[in-house]
Amino acid sequence: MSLAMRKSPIEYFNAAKWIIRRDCRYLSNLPEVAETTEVVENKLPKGRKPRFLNPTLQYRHVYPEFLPDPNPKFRNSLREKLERADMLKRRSQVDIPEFYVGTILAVTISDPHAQGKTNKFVGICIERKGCGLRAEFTLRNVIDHQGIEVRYDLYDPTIQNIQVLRLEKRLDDKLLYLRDALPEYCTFPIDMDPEILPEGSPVPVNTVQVKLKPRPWLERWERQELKGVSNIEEHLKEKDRVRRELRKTPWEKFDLMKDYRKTIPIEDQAEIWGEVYNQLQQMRVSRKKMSKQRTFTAPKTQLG
Amino acid sequence: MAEGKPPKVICVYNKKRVGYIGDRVMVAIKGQKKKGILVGLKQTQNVKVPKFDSNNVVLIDDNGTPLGTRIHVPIPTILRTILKEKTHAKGADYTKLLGIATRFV
Repeated sequence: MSLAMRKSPIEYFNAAKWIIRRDCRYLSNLPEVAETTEVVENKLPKGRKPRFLNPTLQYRHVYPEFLPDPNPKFRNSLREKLERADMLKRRSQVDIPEFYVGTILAVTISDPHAQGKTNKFVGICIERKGCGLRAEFTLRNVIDHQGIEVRYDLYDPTIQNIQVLRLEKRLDDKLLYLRDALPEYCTFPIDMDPEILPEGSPVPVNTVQVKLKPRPWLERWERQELKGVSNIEEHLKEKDRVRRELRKTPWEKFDLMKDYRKTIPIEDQAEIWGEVYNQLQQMRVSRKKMSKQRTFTAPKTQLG
Repeated sequence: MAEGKPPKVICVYNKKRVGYIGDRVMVAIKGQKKKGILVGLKQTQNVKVPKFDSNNVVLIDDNGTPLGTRIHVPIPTILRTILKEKTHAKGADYTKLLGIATRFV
């Protein structure tokens, strides 16, 4: 790590040894909502003046799948490079918008089994995982009192359209507890209209706290320190509280090595973002132009 | 629906003995043995195939005709293909249950 830093062309980081190194540790590609807000707050005042922190680094939350798996077993620089090229090619074909866990999406795929040959599913994104071309996300909705989850590959060639209906984040980085929550918390109408955020506003964080159904649950939610659940204590017995205490790992947040193994170092990230930044930016700009044109034409068709 | 004991799958008619989507099963329901088709499963599914919060079965008779007249639960579209493949010219016609489905996902 330190060797790589000395070799790296970015000399600034050497000068500010410890503090910035610790910052590097927190440059996680696993976006945690609470943490990201903190990082953004820290970065904005710093970044505006000297701009020594790479501005492209903010992309790690918008495009998390561009960062490879930190596990050295699965690293292969050539494969990663080829995958990134393929991802950019796919992105030039279909608009994959910015979305987070907690965002409500509508996904249209071409489905050989469906009658109209297309299949649309609306739901809240409860999980996002995988790197590179293997990135996938899961949507959940309750249709006819039946909870339904569909998993999609982000770079699936059968995806025709991904539409963001409501762009927001939630308090946790996985919403798997919605499976055990009351059904009204993940019920969304199929013909939901997209809500448009004003230009340049930050992604809102929905602080809603869900209520869980009584036990049995699918997982031991009480041990996971969830912020988005309100009534978890009601369902616990004394035994569960004791075991939760015994199972706590409060030292893990001080485990720098663990953090390091979970994240991609800042030098590697700078390289990756330097490679894809221009194309992603171009795509963003062109999409914006397209959407402006589209909004211009939409009222005409309505009038006519 | 929920009177007495909940229905239970007691046999799966495939070689793996684990029920997958579209498999024919025997169900113990109200003290009787009935045939059924699995139309929704809790287990992890392939990409783009919906995963349900409960295991769902549509009861059929030996010819593949559903015993009921309506299905209130959404049906995965992939069942169209699966059931068509399982239907043979002289055997049971399983695609009849697709006709009474109210909604596909």
